Amino acid sequence: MKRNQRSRGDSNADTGAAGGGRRRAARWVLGMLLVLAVGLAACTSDSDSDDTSDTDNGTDTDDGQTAPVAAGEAIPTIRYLGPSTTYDNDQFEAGNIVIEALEELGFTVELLTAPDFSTYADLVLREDWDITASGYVGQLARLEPSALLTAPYLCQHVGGSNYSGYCNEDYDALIERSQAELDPDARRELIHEAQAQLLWDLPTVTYYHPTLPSIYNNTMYDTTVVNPVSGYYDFWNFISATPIDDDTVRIGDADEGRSLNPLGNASYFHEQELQLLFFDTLTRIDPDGDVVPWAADEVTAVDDVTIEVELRSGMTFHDGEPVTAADVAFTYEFFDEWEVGRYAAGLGRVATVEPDGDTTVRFNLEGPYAAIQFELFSQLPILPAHIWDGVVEAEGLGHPSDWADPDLTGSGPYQLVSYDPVGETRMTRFDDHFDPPVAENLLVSRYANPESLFLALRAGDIGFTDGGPGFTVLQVEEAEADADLTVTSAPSITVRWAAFNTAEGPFSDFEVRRAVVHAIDSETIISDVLRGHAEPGRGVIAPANTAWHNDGIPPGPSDEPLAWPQFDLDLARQILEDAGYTWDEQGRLHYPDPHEPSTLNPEPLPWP
Amino acid sequence: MYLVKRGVSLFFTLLIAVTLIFGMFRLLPGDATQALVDPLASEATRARLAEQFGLDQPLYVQYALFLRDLTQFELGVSFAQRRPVSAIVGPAFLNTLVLVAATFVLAYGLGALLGVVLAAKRGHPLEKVGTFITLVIRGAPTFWIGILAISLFSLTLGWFPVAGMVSPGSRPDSTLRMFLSLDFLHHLALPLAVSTLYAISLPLLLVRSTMLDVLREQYMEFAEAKGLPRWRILYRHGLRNALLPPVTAGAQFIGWAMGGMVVIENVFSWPGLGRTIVTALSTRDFPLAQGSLVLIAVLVVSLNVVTDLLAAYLDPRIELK
Repeated sequence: MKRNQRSRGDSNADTGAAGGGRRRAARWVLGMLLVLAVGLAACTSDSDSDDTSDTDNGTDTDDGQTAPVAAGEAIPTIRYLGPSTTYDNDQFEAGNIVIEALEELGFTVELLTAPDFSTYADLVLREDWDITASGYVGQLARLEPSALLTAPYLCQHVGGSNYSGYCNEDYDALIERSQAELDPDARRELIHEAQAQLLWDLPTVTYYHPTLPSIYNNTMYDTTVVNPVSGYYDFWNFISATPIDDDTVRIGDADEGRSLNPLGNASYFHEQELQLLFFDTLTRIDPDGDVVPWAADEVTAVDDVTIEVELRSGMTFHDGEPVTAADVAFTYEFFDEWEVGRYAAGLGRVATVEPDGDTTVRFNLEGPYAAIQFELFSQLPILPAHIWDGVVEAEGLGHPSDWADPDLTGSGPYQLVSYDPVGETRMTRFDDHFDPPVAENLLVSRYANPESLFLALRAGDIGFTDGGPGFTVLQVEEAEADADLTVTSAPSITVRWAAFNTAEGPFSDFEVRRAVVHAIDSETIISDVLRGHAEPGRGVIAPANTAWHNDGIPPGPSDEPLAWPQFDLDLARQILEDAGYTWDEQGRLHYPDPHEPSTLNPEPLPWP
Repeated sequence: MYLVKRGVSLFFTLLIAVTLIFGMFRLLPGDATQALVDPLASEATRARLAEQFGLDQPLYVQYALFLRDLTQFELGVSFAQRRPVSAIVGPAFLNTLVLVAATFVLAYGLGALLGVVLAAKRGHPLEKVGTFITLVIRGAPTFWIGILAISLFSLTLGWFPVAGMVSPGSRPDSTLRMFLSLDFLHHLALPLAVSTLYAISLPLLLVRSTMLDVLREQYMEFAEAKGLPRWRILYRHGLRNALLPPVTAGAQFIGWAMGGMVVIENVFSWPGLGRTIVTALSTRDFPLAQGSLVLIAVLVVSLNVVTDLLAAYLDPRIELK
């Protein structure tokens, strides 16, 4: 550790070139914005917080050496990177509670905040941090356990989506096996073991799983469909809701309209949700989170590496052309050829896709691929080959996603009438669909802020919305008092967690992580910050994902070696002390001397 | 000669503005690939997207391309929407302009009238109260007034819609017909009222202070001596002469109002340029953000020229050099 031999000022200079300079620049930028008479006050206040001149005296090495009880060097100020109050107030407040406990344990903590996701995603890769708080919002596709067990934890993603830098070959092998395991029960065993391994090594810790409140306007629709991930904001609802006054399903959306071009990289799940309306997929995820046949009549595994899909007969695109096996094969090859990020990993596991007659498609896989129905079949929109084949040459494009005004003819239950990412999107029922929607029209309106979305819902301008980033506790309480609105709440699969920097700094020592997970007071966070609307953190696969969550691990305190950590500062201190850590007169934590930390849990995993 | 000199300085002003606009977004942390790609996606996906957007090029190359496009009146293609920026900012600009123009008319009209009243009532309690209220409104945050107005007039009383420019699903195909529809006027009322409140202080206070000077002029005494009615003296002889500073401040007013619209449009979900800028910033959609601001810069700078010319026309004592 070189850092603790420098004064605080030096370490500022260290990040100054890349971090501080850019932060100063960022504030200069915002100043210029004001000069141009464009008031963007929101961002400025947040970017300030990360370089408030801190005059902490703790990193001074003299302190450490003169202190009689401290053996090793003082642990330098740790940096906690998280969302700002405007980005995610709940997690910001949760962070403050965690930081307070860390300070009580003898750490000095510097808080860095990001005002939005773009900033966060940049800082988490570029900045020096020791703990970073982030999260994964529940999406239907994230019910498939590979979604959250691979990208944040596999060795190959270190430096990218694997923020903590966690790399354990045993874990990688376990995941590899789980992806090839076709027997559901055997696969579940492996997924459970993977969760146990993560709890054993502690690269990340989950603070809480917020409860998902969902609201709709009951004066506008009759409906009963609620899914565990997005509530009433659900494809099945959009096609089955019965409008009471007119013949239109009205949906409100947040203001970040993006291209609907299916070849684009839109990760935003609102666009994916809309695409599901006018494109069919081979399978769909039903409101219970199960994969059900959709455009496919039947999906048969011929052997471990061959899957045969029988299409529904009589399907047509909106322009009257038949949907054939050739269209499906074209679609999968087209997405593979143009390397569309969302599907690239999955398509890499598919060797070839061959049409066999008009309605049979054969998928030849590179190896067994357990999640193909979830990750590819339920996600990839079936494109009409007669529109997309050769479009790159015809339109003179570099990539099909450059097609500015794409022909979005699909075969889905609605056909697109007009699309405006900042205005309204209109759709009308496709009567020839095999499952035609109840309402004739579907309308999506855009609102500039979550408050407007909620007001529009109350006023009856829209019937369904997910509230932008989700409804706040206050909105839910208001909605509960409003007879026009129906509210349901269910535990969600959303994960609000923190990752430790396991590559360097104090948290590269497993014992430190094992101690500080007991400094996270989930109970207080849930009662004080979330007013009870959350469940305590149980790893990255939330308990609400009943199919895959490992429910065999007990909550602590417990005699079991493997248990979900509970808030217990005394235990945290004990663990640190046992590992040789000491405190000086100011209560500041010091490294052991000598210090030979182990990054992973040195003991073998006691599971199953 | 004046026009040539003015043209040259106009060119350099715009060049500086455009350079600042280009630079400041790129100094913000993060880029569009992070906003658009799933955080669980691989680094390769992001790298590919950066290449597609030209973000892998060195900054000076990006800047040169940006300037080259600008000289051809090209604003590029939006990262998030994948449509030409001009197709996005055109309609948004129009929507903002309608709001700004209506605000301008109302704020200047009412502001001038009230400014004269406050000047004429110098020393009267009415002046004190009026000036105080104006200053309070000027100081109050617009978003706060906007939210108060929505919760009172839209939610509690139900008089006005909560958001947007037309009712969902009832936008006419022709933009002109939409601007002329009752539904549109109904949606316009509340944001217009709030933006007028926000903007009225400038013409009001300006007219008041110039009017105080004018009232001391001899020709005003002369008009009074002629026995003309008081309102006629004030508005015909006084206001006409007091209008020059407010007119020259007009360009500044428009620029300032355009800035204020960022907040108003976001509170009222008005689909204008201000909302576009905020969305573009949050997704680091550089071309869209740049295009929007370039448009505003061009508008403000050229309005400045227009008002200078107008001032010279209104007041023969001003000489254009």
